[in-house]
Amino acid sequence: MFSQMRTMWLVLKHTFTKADTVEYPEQMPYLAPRYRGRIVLTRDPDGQERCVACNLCAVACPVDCISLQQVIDPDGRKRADFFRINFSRCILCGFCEEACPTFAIQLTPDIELAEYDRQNLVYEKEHLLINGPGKYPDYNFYHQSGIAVGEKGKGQGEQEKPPIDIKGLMP
Amino acid sequence: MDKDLNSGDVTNTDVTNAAVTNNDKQLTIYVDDVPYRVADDDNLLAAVLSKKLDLPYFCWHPSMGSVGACRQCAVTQYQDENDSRGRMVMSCMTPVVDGMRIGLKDKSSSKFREQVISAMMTNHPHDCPVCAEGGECHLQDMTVMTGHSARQYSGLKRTYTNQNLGDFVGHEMNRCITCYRCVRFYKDYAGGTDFDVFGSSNHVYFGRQTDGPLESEFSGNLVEVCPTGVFTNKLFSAHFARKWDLQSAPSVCTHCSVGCNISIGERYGSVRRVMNRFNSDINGYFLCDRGRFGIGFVNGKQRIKTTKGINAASPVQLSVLDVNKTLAHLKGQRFIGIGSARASLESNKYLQKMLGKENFSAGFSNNEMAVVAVHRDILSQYSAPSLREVEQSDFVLIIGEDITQTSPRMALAVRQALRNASIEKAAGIGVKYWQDSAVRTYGGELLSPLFSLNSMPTKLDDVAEQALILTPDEIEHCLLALEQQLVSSSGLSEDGANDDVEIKVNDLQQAFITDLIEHFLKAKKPLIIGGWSLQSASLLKTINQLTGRLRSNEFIAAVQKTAAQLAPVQLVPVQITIMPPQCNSVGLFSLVDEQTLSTEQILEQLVSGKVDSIICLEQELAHFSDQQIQTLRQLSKTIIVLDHSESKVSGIADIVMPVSPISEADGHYVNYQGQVQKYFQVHAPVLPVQDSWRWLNLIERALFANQGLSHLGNAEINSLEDLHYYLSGNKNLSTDNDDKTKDIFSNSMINRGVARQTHRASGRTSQMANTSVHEVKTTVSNDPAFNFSMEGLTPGTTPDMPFSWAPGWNSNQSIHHYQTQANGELIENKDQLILVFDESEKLLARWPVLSSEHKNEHDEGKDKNNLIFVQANSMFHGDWQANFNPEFTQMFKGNQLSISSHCADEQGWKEGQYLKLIFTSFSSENEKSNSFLAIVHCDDNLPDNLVNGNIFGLPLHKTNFRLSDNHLKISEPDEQEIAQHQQDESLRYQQAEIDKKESLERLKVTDQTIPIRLVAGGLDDV
Repeated sequence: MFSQMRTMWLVLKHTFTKADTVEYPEQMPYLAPRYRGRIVLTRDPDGQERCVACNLCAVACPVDCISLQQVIDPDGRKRADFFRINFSRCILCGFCEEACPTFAIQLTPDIELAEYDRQNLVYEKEHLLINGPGKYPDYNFYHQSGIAVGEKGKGQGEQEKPPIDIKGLMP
Repeated sequence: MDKDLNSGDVTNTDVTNAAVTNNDKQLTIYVDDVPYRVADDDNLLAAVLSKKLDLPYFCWHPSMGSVGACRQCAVTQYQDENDSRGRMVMSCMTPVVDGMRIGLKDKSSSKFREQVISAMMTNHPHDCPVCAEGGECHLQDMTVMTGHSARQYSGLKRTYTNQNLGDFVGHEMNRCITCYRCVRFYKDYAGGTDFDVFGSSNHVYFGRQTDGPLESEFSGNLVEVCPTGVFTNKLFSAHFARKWDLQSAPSVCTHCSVGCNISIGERYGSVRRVMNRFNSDINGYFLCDRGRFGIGFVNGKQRIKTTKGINAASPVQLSVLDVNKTLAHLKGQRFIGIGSARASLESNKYLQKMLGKENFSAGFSNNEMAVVAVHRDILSQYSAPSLREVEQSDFVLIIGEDITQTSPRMALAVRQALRNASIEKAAGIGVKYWQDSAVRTYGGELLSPLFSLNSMPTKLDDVAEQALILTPDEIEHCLLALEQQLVSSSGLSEDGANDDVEIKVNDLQQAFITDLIEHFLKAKKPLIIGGWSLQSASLLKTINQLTGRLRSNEFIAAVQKTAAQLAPVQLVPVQITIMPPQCNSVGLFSLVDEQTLSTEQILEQLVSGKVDSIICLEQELAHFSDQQIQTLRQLSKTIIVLDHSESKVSGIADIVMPVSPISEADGHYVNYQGQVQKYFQVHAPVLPVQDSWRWLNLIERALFANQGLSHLGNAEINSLEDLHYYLSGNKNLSTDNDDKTKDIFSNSMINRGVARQTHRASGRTSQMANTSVHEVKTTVSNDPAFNFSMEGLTPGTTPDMPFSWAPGWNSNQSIHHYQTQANGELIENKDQLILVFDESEKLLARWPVLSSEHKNEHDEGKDKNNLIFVQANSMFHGDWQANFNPEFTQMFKGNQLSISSHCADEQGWKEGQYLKLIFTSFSSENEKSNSFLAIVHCDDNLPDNLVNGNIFGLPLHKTNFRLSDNHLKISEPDEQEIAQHQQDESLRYQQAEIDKKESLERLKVTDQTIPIRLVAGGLDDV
């Protein structure tokens, strides 16, 4: 008897509390910028593709859902000829983002990844690439590594000495 | 037992045990108070690594020894068990001593090793993501091993400009950690001259004086020797995959007869690269550039990927029924089968068995059949040394073969053999052989004697005691004189009564012979190397005769008697090896007998009407001129060609069946020693491409099933194992215990289910998702030895390692985990399988060596027609398959005719002038494909009666003939012809440039359309 009364009391009480559910999709929940949702490929501040197709994301992926192929541009940049993520396999663990040495691959707070046809969950590079630097606005990999690409020659990166004059006599 | 897979017996020989270590003495060392038994003549680092303990190092290399340059392998050595402080020593420079106590885990040496890495890291760039070495980088491994996990240095980093080192090796000097391995390999080990170290202190630079392609035949090894990514494989980088993503299988190099073990890597359905696969008896740690970079032909545009002349009922897929329907029309035709030295042993054997010995040709000409007969005779008498044994000889005589170009890995072994003199000298003062720089300093210029008798200058001439360039006939003559003088100098002359006519030689030759005899009598392990490239059976016969004499008991006894007066020597009978031209030449001529047809006889048989059709098994018929090919076409009803690449025969064939090249096939090759080596499919081919023996099986079942030729009737052969049982004639598969052919595939019986992929292979659920999101099953392998997946046993569980990897060791240097000791044989070593040839008297009688008497008539006069033409060998163009690499085409410098300046004056030719050469040996004069233009080049090393030609596209057998015999006409071309020639040359270069780009575009398309194969079997196995 007491138990039933208590139950009724609790139910009645909850009719006056604020609802926890939201009217999704009319009302969007707040997801933090670091939320692990849909994966994107970002660009460096110059607008060039950040991804150098090093394959670290692919090897870190526990479900092996990333595949890509590296090619070298005439200016010496390396990039992915194709970059494919099979989101029907992806578990949004974020290991790829952690593995990425160039901040190219990033997870976004977009979680709306539902399709009627599973084939549509296969994302190619053109679907993944966005027009901005994502969470790391200033980072440019080629300015940190020693290799020469395009107009950035040897020794012109950050924290690099000018190239050594190998014909010089000074020790 | 003549129904054996091979005409000779197969025996197991264990050559390796004698070769690997000089002694088996062991002593005890204590590492962190744990006792280990190690070999007594090694250094501490090698000993520690032999026990599979982790000790980082950079400059030490198992095959190049120690120099103590990098300071990375420091350990603490303790006085005794009470000593707790110890002192730091560099383990690679410390010989092992019985009872010595060292510490690997102690604080001071661990800290020291970490600090060495940290110092290297101050200048090492942050570019691992774009470095092709990443994932198999020794520096990465060592950094992790020392525990240097965070960078402490925040200052500026040193940078260098790079050099263009050609199409094969990339250069990124920023990454250099100055371990000096590259220059020690390139200069000291391989004898290269165009690469060095420049500058000092923190400005040290490794490279060439100016940009330009590396000239050494072994430049590709820099990629593996460099512990980090300074030198990378450019062809691999162009279409790159990480090591962990490559699907690899153990394979054997197809580009020469040495039979180096390689590992071919594949990703997304295309072959990416070749890496060295350690084999202690053959290639050890190094490959030549033809082997490493020549694999591109399997991705080339010349590949045949569809059938010709077979109508498929379904547009999607060709079925066995389609093939049967087509072949049914050919029933009753009488076929000749032409095998080849690049097809597997099994396929050749199958062809021979199917058509009968009297209808089998090995594709050799009359002349080559005589060479085969003598070569077989030599192999039946003497076993050829492995490269490991070659490296141990202390006297080398090379006769008539430019091994630096035809079988470069052998030349590298010979170079190491020459070091034995200084190693021995250093041993005299107690310096061990692994003290590389000490041995080189103390040994100075001292080299073991190398004598070279060749018809062209070679790259070994610079280390030769004497190198004489003579015409082939003169070489023979010189050898006869040598034999006579050797016999007389050893005091055996009295029994050679019929040799009383003294063979006269000129002063130069006499000096050569005298010097040679002097060194030969001091030699303990002499070696003679000959070869096929002069196409001279009589030369081989002379070599055989000389060897027979040198190995005769009387001679050895006599030498030992003379030598005993000077110093007691243990004389090992002279060893001999003859280098055949192709990867399976020895396998092919193990099938040759007196019934085997020569190419000339094929035409005769067709003319006489005994046969009317031809099956070409991976045979491009290089011996046939265009005209003869036309004749062949007119005379034969049907030509069936089984090949992987287009050739002039595939162009005229009625039926073309596409076969798998090395990377997509299973089979065996037989190397120059007669060693039978298996290669495995790296990936399943796209149908209708399949193994040539599968096609042969279809042909047999369609054409010959009811003729009683095959005792198994309509046997469907679905794996190499089936084929072996079938060929060896065993109906009952379970009771063949005494069948020796079982040995040939016993290795696949031992290892079941080794993974071809690494355990970290990535992208499985995504790589084919563009075609369908539903993942397919992995391909089932018909050969149980290896799986087409990452599942299965680890690579170290088999002697045929698909790749090398060990925990913490991602680079190829992980191999020491699988060796009995550093640089020793593999733990999972399997017995070598060497074909033993029986007496070949019948063959010798059938193909007698033509006497060279009529040739010697010319020797007196020195008229214009007395010149002898010999083709200079070129590493990048000596192999039909390798020629399909556009990069190799671009390596060709232009047609050249080398001649002494005196001779040029006599002929009225000037340096740099164009000459027109018309080869008339086999066909009519006016045929365009037989005429070439070449530039005259004066080389005063050449004698006055010798012409060396280096001519693009000239078949290799067109060599060693007199101009007077009307084989070659030389005239002066007109302006128009010169212009046309120059245009052709530049067009060829441009075409190669286009091919390179197209090849990459084609590969990118392949990446998107990975074929689905459920079973890696025949036509009906999708």
